[in-house]
Amino acid sequence: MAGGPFSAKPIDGLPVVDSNTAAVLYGPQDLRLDNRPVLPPGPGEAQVAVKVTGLCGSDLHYYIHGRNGDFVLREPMALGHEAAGIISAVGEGVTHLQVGDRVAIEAGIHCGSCRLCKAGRYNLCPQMRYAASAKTYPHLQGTLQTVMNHPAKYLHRIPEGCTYEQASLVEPLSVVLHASRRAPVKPGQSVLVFGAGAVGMLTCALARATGAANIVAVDIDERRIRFAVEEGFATAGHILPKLPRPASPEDGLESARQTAEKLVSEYSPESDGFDVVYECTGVASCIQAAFYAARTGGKVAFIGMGTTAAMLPLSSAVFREVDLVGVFRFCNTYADALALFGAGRLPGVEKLVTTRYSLERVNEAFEALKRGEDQSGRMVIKVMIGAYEN
Amino acid sequence: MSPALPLHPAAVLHGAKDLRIEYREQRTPQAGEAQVQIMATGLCGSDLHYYTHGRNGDFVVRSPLVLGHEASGIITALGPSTASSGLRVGQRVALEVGIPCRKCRYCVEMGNGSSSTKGPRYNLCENMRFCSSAKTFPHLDGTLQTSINHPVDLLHPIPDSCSYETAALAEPLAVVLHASRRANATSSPNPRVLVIGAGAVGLLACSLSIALGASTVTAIDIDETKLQFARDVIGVDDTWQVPLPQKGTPPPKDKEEILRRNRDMAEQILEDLGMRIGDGFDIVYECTGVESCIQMAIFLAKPGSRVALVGMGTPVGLIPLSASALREVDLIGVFRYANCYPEALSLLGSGKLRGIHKMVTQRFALEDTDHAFETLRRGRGDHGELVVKVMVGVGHQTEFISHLADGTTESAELA
Repeated sequence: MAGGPFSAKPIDGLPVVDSNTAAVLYGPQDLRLDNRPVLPPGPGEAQVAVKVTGLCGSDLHYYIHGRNGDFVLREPMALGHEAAGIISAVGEGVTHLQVGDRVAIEAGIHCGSCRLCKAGRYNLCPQMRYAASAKTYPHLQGTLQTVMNHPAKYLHRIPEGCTYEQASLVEPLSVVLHASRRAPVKPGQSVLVFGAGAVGMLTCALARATGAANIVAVDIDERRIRFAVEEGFATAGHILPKLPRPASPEDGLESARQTAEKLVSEYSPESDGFDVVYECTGVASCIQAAFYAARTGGKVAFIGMGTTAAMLPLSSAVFREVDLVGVFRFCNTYADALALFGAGRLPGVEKLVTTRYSLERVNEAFEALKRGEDQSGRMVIKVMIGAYEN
Repeated sequence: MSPALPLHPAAVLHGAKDLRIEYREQRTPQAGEAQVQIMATGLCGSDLHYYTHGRNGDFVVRSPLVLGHEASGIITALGPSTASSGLRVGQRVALEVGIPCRKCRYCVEMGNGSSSTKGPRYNLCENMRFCSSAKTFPHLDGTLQTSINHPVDLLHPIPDSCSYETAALAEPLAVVLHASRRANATSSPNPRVLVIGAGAVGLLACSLSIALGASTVTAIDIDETKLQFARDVIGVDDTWQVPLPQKGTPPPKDKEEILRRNRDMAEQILEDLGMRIGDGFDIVYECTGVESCIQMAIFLAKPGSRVALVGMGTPVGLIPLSASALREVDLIGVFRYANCYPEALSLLGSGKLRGIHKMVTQRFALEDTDHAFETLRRGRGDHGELVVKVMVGVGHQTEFISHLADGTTESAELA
């Protein structure tokens, strides 16, 4: 059972790490709990007893389809990449960590020497290997394990006052933080967020922390919108009707334009649009509406993934200087994200963790994530897998 | 009884291809204005649209309109309240013809408390009135006439080393300069630059990029003579000609297939230029507005780089998001210019812009403006030569007419 009997934080303290259980994907809907050997950490690595892993849309795609877009599973792969834990052993040469340190795990390993890495944009490193992604082969195994080794430089100490769950949220928060650096919001500005899932709501929370005056969340799910407004993430929410497939690309664009017009006239009437629009769904109709809803001189940040190509109203870009800003994962965000949690700058964000399961019940967890609700019919926003008390 | 105000010729558009030379009264400049004798006007694609169709997209000519907006001239009179402008009668100036409202959020400098009414993004002024455009009504006349009154803060002194025709290039150069600023062109030292579209704007983008220290500049076009100009006159490092579809190639069955073909073409271009797949350009200036070119611009950009959308054309286009958003290739919108004229004129006068003096390829008297438009439309001069920039009115005013306080005029030969 999720929620309910579980305490809000996983069992603390250093567990015994003589065995490792991993949730390993073998194919679509074929997720098995395997026993894996516990290896000592190599030079520059540390061993982490994973306390908590949050599940994300890409994990869900792999679970359902055995692939995520173009990336097809080629060998058994442990899922999960939003994780935090406690150091159980350190490898040779690791001086900044010690056994017992609580850490957030940054799940991407970059090369450090290419032009992009040197420019501080390591999220775009062509040699990047990301945990639980089938993009590279051999696949870098994910964090749905009870113990794993990882290069120590990617293990970030969690500040006092920051929980394991918050530390796990640092991964999606990092995407949001990176997006806000690429498309910043200034205090007093207006923000439109398409998609009221975990990423969308973190976007709202960060915009609020930055001092945005008007934060409007948009989604097709009425419960999520209510949650976003009631919990204070957004200043206003809008429920989009789920529309049928448009008859033609032109119809689709016109429908998107009308959606945008409605949003602007209702929620940002003093301007011709929103200062920044964060698109967190990856759905073509929302991407199009995002363009129309940005104000002249504004920006649209593309966070959501899912559409490889879309018809966009380029006249908006050209005549109104609306920029399309790309966002792919994150770089150099963990320290700032952890600091935000440590300083209490994102109050209420822990409420995004709606659903909790032990690792043994990981299949149930994915099913709940897929349905958008748990077995009791409660809304799912963020599911976490962890060593929760039973 | 004051003497009748002198008449001056203007090329006035009454409808599609209906251009008439009319003589209009020269008006006294109002407060804050100067009267300018226009010495050269360059013609551009938007002027051509108005000439050919009586409209430019959604903007329909509703009353007779003087076209032209790329101009330079000489001040013949100053209106009241212009003393602080620093301008004087006889001063050579380039005209910035977009007149912002000075009051909206884009005009008023935000946040720093200054009283400037030319904020950093006044090109986006909510109430912009652009001379020669039918977007607003009543229309404001453009510069294809001999005399015009214009706000003094939109008149920019021309360096002594700069001819009138070169100064008239300040307008399209301002567009390119604005694009380079929006694309953060100077943030990477010695970037690899790609320009798609080797018309006047594209060629200026090539020349500017060389002047700003690009490590290489590559130009792409369908027209080999334009690419030859880019190589021989501007001095770009590489060119690539987009081939016309080969005979017998089946037409693409849908937009997705066009996208795939453009992606393949982009890979071919990278290979031909000796670049690896996954590599690409630091800055791409897309100067055509054609959907396929915009797609190629994205495929040819490096991860983490920027595509400046300078060309205006297709209102909607199929955009590959996996190649743009997922690679953090940003699409930067570019609309006209703001605070660019001084730097543009300085560059034009500096000698740093290669090929500038050869960009004006055809010249016509004001009376032959329709011939000028026909030349621009064909893309080829009367003897088949390449059209880069057509100019009107150059070298045909030999008199400098000055209006004295008592209403009489005196004239002198221009040097």
